[in-house]
Amino acid sequence: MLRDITIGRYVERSSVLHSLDARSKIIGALLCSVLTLSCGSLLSMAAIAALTAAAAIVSRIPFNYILKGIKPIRWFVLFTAAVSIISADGEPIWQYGALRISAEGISAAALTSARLLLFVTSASLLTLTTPPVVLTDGFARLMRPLRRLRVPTDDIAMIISITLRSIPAFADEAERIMKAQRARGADLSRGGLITRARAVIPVAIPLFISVFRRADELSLAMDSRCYGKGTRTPRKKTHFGRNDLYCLIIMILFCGFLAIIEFYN
Amino acid sequence: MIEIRDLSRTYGSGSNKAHVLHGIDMNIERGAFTAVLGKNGCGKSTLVRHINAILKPQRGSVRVDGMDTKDPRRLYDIREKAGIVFQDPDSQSVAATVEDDTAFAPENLGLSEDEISERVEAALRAAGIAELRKKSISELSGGQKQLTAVAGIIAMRPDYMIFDESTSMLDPLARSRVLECVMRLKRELDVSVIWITHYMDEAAAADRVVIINDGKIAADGTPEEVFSDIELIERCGLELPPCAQLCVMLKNAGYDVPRLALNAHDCALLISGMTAAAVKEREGAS
Repeated sequence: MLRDITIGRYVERSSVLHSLDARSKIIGALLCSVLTLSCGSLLSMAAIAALTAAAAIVSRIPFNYILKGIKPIRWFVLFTAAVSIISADGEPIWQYGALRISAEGISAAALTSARLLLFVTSASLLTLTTPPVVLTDGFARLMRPLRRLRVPTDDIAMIISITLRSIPAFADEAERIMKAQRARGADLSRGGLITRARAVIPVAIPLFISVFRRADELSLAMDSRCYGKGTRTPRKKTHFGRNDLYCLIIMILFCGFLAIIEFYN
Repeated sequence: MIEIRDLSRTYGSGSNKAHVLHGIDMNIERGAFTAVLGKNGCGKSTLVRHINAILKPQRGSVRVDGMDTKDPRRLYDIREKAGIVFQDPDSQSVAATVEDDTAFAPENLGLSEDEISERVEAALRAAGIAELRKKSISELSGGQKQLTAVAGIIAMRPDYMIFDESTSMLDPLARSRVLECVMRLKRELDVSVIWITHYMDEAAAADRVVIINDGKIAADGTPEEVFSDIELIERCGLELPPCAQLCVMLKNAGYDVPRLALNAHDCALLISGMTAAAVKEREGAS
């Protein structure tokens, strides 16, 4: 299941979304995330979902592959939806003891679920369509003004890029460790909350050790390949072109459209 | 030339203090293939990490083509001259595709875009993975990942290439492919190779074998010289290359084995020579 994580993976395709400047895509993904977290109506969520679906179609990455990225968070989404339903106020449409479901609760659950799903999908689309080196360059160029304040923007961009790229690698590692523990009789999926929490420890400790070991080895490999010598010259530079301009215009118009929806809701 | 003088290193302090290297003195000539052997924890990796200036000598000195590894002004010149390929093929890649990962070092060197593209192209061809350039690293086999790491180092145009147990996590076929690639690079690009390994057959292919035991140099010579001292090999927790083991077994079984063969080709020649001599002797007797 963890192998299904799509955030951090890159899929080579010849598409308009792939050819956009990394800065446009980063701004687009950030705007999308801010909009999903700040908008409060289901109509706005439907509009963001439509825009995300359009971006997914343009990316030419199979829809099933993108949806696979949602699979690992499905229980989390269901849990937050359940909490939203139970904790919402409003006229109950169904009641069993203290448990009651209202129309407001269903609406809140749909909103929370949509937020989570759209947040993950937009972040996935960014990494699926942008190679890590280009993403690093994009972050570095967006943060360039901060250099005047002596902020190590190149290093921060590299950290963000490596972090994103490491998510699927660590998910694979966690999957391997879980399989190894299961092979030795560990039961990770049964019992109550405390039993399950305890069962996580034999997975979490080797995972942390592996993460630190890998981070140490990667830093050595980067050092030995002269990382930190001076200003890097990225080989792949994307240029802000006409499509990027259209993309930004679409995003600005979309923000205006959502503002109108939110105003009338 | 790499000059190592009185190199010592300790880890920890107080009762936990461990002496990893004790006064190591050695030179590594340009163009040589040097295999470094020793049991786990004997100080092999610590030794070679001093060459690349990842570690600075606590005592003694390491000079790479005259540049002192303690001199911070020469740090990147030294790293450019002496590249390391590490053990784990999954922990060395920075980029997503083979081509991008190979370009990482030239990008760090601040070269022009044309120069980077030229170096990447040449490095991919030299490592024999030009056809994989667009492939995602996550789709590669362990051997292909290690060859990508090799290409990443070649792109720096180093004079010395250090392999820190780079074949230990590979299957036999991938292991021999990486070794073949390194032998070809040594021949074609005239780079010096420092090869840390636990595989004795790999060490037998080197020009020179150095054994490290308890932080000291226990043996230093040609493979023939070093592997002929079987007692020393056993004392250092090592074993002979498989072909040499066969020769020893034959000798113990009463056969007249004139010398140790270190590789399959040499072993075949030796056994066919022994067989021919035995046939001749039998024919003479009859």
